[in-house]
Amino acid sequence: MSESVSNLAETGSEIDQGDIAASLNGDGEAYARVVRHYQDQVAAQMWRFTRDPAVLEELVQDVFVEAYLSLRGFRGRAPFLHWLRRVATRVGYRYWKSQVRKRDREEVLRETSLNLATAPEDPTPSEAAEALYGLLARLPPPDRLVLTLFYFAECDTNEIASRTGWNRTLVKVRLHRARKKLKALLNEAGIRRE
Amino acid sequence: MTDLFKILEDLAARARREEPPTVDVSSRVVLRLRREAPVPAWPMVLFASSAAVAAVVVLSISLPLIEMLTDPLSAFFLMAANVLP
Repeated sequence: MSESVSNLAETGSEIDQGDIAASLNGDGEAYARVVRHYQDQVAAQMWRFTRDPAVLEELVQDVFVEAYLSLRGFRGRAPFLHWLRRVATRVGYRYWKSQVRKRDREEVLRETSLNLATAPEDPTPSEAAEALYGLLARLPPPDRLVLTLFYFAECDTNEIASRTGWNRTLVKVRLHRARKKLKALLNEAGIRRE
Repeated sequence: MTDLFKILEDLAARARREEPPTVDVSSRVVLRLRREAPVPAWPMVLFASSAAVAAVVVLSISLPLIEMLTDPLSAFFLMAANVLP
């Protein structure tokens, strides 16, 4: 399920607040219901942070564990999914930063990332996602995050600010700089499809 | 620049239609939470407060003793002052 599709679904599918309250009181089954309710939407979001299904499962788990540990911070003023998306963004961003530090798999990804110049003319959604992921993976985590949210999740600057916790001015500046870096990358890759 | 970003936007639009893998992590999340349940704070608070009370008691006993050590004749002079006219 793509994130835009899930955005449509989220308005009419808010979880029962009772389950959240019960989870806070230590009811494991209530929290399992919360997880089952939101895991597809969270997985769709985390799929932008990794292309490895095993890592995806780990990240989705991390999101729900972290969400549970800070559940008391959820005031219920905004839909639960919005709050969960902020937690997910934090978890994904932290994962990228740790990957950059470790320089293991990600390094391989950078080298083997699908060059847009060699991408098929009419790529499937998976090929397109792979190409975009590979391209953005060449950027530092802050630039990568802002562009991932902008292109993959179709977030405007307000939404990016809300999900990342950065202020809107910073988001605009980062977006501008990241787009410039991306342009340089694309030129470097010799993208000329005119 | 516009062309490059147009390519990118087309690619992103296509990428958004991708079906992500499905996951079911509910049981593993609950298991992890049970395993990593935060340690309750009250035993630590109890231990810290008893340590603080013990420290106050020891301090109230040891301070007069330290004073006696630094000025051992003070008790004698105090007694003498009471005895002498």
